[in-house]
Amino acid sequence: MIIVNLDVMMAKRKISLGELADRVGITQANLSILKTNKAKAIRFSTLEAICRELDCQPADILEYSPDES
Amino acid sequence: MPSIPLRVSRRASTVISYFLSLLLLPVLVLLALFMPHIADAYLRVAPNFSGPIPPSLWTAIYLALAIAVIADGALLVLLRRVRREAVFSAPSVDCLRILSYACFGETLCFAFVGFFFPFSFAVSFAACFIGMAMRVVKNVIEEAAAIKAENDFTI
Repeated sequence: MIIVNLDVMMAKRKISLGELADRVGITQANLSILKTNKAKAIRFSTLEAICRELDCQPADILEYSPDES
Repeated sequence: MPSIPLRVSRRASTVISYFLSLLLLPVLVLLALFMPHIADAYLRVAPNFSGPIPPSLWTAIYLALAIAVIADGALLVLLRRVRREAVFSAPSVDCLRILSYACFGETLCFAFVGFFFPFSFAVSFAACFIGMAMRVVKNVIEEAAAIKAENDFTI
């Protein structure tokens, strides 16, 4: 499974959920879905906007972990 | 292409369907209440059937009416979800599943009644066909619900 480590990067950059949502151009609800690993897919445009605002690479916020089922 | 007369808007169509389904409930209740009188009237003209209606036939008739009430309830729930624009979801799939099972239930009831009144076999066949069609519609909506969930959780 893909784990989204958005909260880690947000804490490093000291940016709140609401502020990041505004800058990226998505709703807080959607960003929360992403942050809590409930999202099923992410658009490249959204990933690009998040990486731009957090000044990071996709690998900094996306991590692959083998399923433990 | 010429315009089709009496074509109503999507919303009006849903409202019409909803009120027709709502109207069906008291009709079914009245049918249940007056079924003995309706049966008496029918028996006076029914060919090749004499004597009182056996309890098993009454059971099948009232069971068919009860299943119709359940199916109508599922229709109303489904139409309310359509009005709320929440049709592609698991509860809607459940409503369609109930409708298909209700049709199969009616198939069995009318098949039993067919042993007393052969015309009921035709009604039973029609109910079975509609039940199968509802199964396919359920499969389609289930797939649509999965696609919608995928889209809704695409950020």
